[in-house]
Amino acid sequence: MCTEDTRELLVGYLYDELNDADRRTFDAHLTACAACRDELAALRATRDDLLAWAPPECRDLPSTWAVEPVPAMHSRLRAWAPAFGLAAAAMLLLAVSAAVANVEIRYGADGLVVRTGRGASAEPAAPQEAAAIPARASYVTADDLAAFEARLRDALTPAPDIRPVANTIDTDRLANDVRRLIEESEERTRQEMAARFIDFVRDAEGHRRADMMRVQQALGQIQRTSGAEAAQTRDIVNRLMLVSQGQSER
Amino acid sequence: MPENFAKKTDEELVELAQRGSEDAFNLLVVRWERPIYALAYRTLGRDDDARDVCQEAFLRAYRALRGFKGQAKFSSWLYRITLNLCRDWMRKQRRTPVSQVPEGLELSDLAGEEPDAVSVEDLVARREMSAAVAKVMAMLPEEQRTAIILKEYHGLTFQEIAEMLGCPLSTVKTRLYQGLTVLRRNLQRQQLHAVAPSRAAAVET
Repeated sequence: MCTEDTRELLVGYLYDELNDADRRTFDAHLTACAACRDELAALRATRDDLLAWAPPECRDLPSTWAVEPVPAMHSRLRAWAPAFGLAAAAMLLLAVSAAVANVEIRYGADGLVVRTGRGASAEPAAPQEAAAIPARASYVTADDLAAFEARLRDALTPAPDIRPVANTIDTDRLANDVRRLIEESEERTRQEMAARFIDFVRDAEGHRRADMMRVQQALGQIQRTSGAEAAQTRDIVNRLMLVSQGQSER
Repeated sequence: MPENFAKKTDEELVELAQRGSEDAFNLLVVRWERPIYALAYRTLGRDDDARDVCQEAFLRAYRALRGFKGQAKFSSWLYRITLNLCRDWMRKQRRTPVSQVPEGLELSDLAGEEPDAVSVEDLVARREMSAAVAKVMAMLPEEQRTAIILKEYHGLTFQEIAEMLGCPLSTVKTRLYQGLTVLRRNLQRQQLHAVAPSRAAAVET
């Protein structure tokens, strides 16, 4: 090796980042300097060796986060971005639902909780409400959500400033009609936010359940037996969910 | 996702994402997650850590997107976020990168990258070489390793590396030269180990 300048030229030459003049200079140097020729060849061989280092195939990159065929990141992003809007929607929903059915919905670190009955107490619900919604605080199923959504829509549809809608049309069309009318009045705006909240809750619940299922599958291979153990497992899974939700909100 | 998105440049997608298009940001994620994961993996040497850093890098990018004014390429910006996270990560864990022989790296994976059928001997040799490179890279000082990774595996120019690492052009060249020289020596030593352990031991002393 020659001087510091020659070394810089050699690195530039090695990576093909020399301008024409410098390249000609170094070409000339190479014909005269065997040491530089050898070094260049050795470093090129080293660069070839480096190519063999491939990272392992990673199956859990960000675009695969979504469990369902939701566009990548969509759900996650929505989970942090509109926290404020979500809170507002939740308040509205609570107000609406309290007026309609005395139903309390809470989506927190411990999952989705639906309670019925007057006040915020966790007492068992009044009998007439127990039919559509689980009476005691519990994790809801997709069916419960669907039932609740249908019920909420039914309850809101006959509001005075909303065009009467025949009961015979299917729920999709009903939902579309409702959404179209929503833009016209504050009352309808509230209703749409409630509907969107339900969509969001269902989405989030879907993710939560899918995650939980994966964890449970893993745990299930280790221990799947008595009710006591199952309860323990559920407890662990809930804690895992707590942690993972905490992380996603960071 | 709108079809015409695929033809847009990163910077156009950033602009759309800044105006609220999640699809645009998703496409940026799809475009860059593998390079970012690879960068984190080679810097940290562990695939689970690399996955965490990769996720965190995109979360940070998403949150900081409004602050991105196009003063650099989007990819450079993302690389810098990732490298900062890697540095924090190593500091927090108080450990240097480990050389992890990638378990997910199967011979069949390597075969898939080859245009033609390659002999098993070649595949084995290549796998051994991959492990050897991982090992000697982990032994490099951090600044040399980073320069080599950015140059060899991400094809950045000297100028881009200098801007990303905040050091003069000549420093980048020196780090590359010194890094390559050390790698060359250590790789030769590794290969001696593989061929004749006793002789290699004699060389080391």
